[in-house]
Amino acid sequence: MALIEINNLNFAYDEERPTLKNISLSIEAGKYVALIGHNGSGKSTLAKIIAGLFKKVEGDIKIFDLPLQKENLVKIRSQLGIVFQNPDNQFVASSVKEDIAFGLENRAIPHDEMDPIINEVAEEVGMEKFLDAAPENLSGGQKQRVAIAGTLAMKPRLLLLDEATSMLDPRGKKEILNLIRKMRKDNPELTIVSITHDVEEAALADEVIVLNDGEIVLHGTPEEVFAHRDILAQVRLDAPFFDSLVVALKAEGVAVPDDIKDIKALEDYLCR
Amino acid sequence: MSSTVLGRYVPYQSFIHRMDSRAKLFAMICLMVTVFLKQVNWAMTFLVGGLFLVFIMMLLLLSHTKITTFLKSLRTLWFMAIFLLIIYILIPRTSDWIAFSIGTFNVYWDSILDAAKILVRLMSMIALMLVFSASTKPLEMSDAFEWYMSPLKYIGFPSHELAMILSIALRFIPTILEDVHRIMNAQASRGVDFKHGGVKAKVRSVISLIVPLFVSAFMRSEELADAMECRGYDPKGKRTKYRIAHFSWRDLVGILVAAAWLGLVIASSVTHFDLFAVFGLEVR
Amino acid sequence: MPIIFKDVKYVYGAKTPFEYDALNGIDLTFEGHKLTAIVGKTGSGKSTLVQHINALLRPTSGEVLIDDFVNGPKNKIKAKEIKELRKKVGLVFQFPEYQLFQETVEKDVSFAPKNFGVPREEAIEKAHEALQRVGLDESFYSRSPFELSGGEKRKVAIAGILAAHPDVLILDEPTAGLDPAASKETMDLFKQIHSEGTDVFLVTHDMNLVARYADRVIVIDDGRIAFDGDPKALFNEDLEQYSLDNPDIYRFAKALTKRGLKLPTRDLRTVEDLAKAIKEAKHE
Repeated sequence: MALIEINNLNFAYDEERPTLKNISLSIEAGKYVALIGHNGSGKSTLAKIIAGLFKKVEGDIKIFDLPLQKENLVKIRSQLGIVFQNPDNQFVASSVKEDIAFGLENRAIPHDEMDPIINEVAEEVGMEKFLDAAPENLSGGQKQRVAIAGTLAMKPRLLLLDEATSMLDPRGKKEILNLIRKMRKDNPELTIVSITHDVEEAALADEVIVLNDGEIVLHGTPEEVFAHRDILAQVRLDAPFFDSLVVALKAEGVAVPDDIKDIKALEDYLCR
Repeated sequence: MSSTVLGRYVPYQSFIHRMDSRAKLFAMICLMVTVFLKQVNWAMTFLVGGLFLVFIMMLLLLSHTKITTFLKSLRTLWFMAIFLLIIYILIPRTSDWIAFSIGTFNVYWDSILDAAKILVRLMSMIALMLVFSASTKPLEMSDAFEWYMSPLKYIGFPSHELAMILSIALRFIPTILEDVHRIMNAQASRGVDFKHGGVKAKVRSVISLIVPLFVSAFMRSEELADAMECRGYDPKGKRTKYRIAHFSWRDLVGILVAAAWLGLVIASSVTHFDLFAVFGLEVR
Repeated sequence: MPIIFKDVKYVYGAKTPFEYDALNGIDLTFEGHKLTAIVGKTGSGKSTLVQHINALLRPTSGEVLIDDFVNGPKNKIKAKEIKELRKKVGLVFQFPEYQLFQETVEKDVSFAPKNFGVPREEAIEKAHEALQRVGLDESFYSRSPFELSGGEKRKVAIAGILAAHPDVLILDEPTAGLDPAASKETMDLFKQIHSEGTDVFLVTHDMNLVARYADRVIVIDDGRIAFDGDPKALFNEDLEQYSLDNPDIYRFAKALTKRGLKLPTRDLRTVEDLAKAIKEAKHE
């Protein structure tokens, strides 16, 4: 079943320059999809549209089979978690556990049910030892993990990560990527859409969608997408390290068979 | 890294920390009122004020606030003290209690004592607020506020919204302070001198701080609003509360002690009680 | 410009409950013309270190000599001397777009040179020149910096530092938040500026940048110097001990070496260098 179904979406902040042009895509339940593009490609706008933050959207959008309209918004949002870029600007409360509780309060979850949920999701994201910590004493990566915990507490079907790692240091990035891997394993039904310009992260996804100037230019498995080095260069994106290296090796005349799909295989092949 | 110590929560599990914020606020207000009650004469005013200061020092100790923190926060009071003294001395009086004279200008004890009285009041208030802010999480403060304001909900007063605004403002104080610090450093690197220069230069340097600060604050608030909306926040909707405060014996003790002190001071004030007269001492 | 750190110690929040040593006995000499990377995990003290170079921070003990300027704990420094120093040492902070505040791009970029006493006309000329360097043409001059895209704002902010023509350029995470193409553009610009004679310090935790651009690397760990030398030598060490990652290129090269493929020992700055090295190794 398609969890997100978008047909002919058009959107513009200002009439002259459309931000999104004729976007059509569908995202299956349980998939991990990376939406990549350079800054200004329209990828974050797309995330905000899916979260229902914009009103004048042209086109046909269905999320969880519900048309994205005002009357469905509460229902859609109750099954959708979104984590934004800036770790500080989404931390509402003054401690970790209270921030996780914020969403639960909004959904009028009875008080006695809150603590077990908070403990569970805090453990899922590895923040169980920091339940009382204040945001100013946490690293960026930790704050983003709390934000993810806050969404997980709502048992979402869809997790939207809007450049959730772009302001983090390498440690923080790694923490979040490891967490994504873990969530995929613990909860295979969860659909994750990650908006990013980090191609290394995109390489971990099931599907990659490349956005440029408001249009989808590539959509496929990471392997398929990253094979189009020319197009990627055109839209100002790098290829992941592995793909770049294969291209560089081939340019040097070192043959790399096509069945080598990742860095480990390449290592094995070169050291044979 | 901010150096402001006043008004900063110091995590600890003291008696005062563990009091319910509503009870604590009530007790604090009781105590604060006592500071402003008039006593029959100077001696009684300073006796009550002095006793009270000693009592608050004990509260400070009890809440594990360092006395040095208190003394530090008094530093800015010096200017105030001198300023007050000058004002009070300049106020014309009709009194015969002259401390000394400068030429034909008389300086009265009343003026000096008036200034001292205000100073003691200010010190007491600062100490009280210090105890309160060091022992109460900002969120608990806004909870107390919401609780006291909640009856007004029925006449359309947005007490929940205000409490939410207050708690978010409190939550963002450290973040905004960091912004201030960062922007000042960035502008200083571009040759802005925040310390020296004439009025015009001062205005310019402040603008170079304020504008980016507002831009950043607006951006933060916009993003925060988006995040809150996405997390299902609806101020009008039905919400539950995660933090539920419970009254305990501590709150009862706290309120009783504060109320007792308030009662004593009120009684002494209305009955014009003079402890010194009881011992046959004549004081002014 | 020679820069010397002599046993520099820096304590944050001295005499408060939040006190900690950010720098502890730093001895460093910067001479000659190298692009120096200063790396370390978040909170290691690397930003604190560079803020001593333009006297945003004064050492708690020890001293920093920047050319003929002495940044010591207590020596009197005139406001004019500090300005002179900051004219020579330009510092681009992390997310510098937060320092923009003027109504036009031109005014914002000419702000620093004006502060450093460059006449108006000349400052504007320098602003134009700097804007051109970062790749923004005339059409941007009269636009408001606040209506630009994130990437363009970053460029304006960087131009705002370059316009003052500093002899030393310190970059604190200059590529944070930028997409790969913009990162590369920005770093290539700094490399170019370095090759024209400006001393460049790059504060970062992105080890790929270090591999690609740095001639010397200093690792700060817990306020101390943990490593100082050639980037290549660092990447052969165990970087985990400093909570840092190996650059992709070196990680792969190391893995190959471990399994017996003998790569030539030379600087590997790009993927192409690595491919060449692998080819040579395979041909032996």
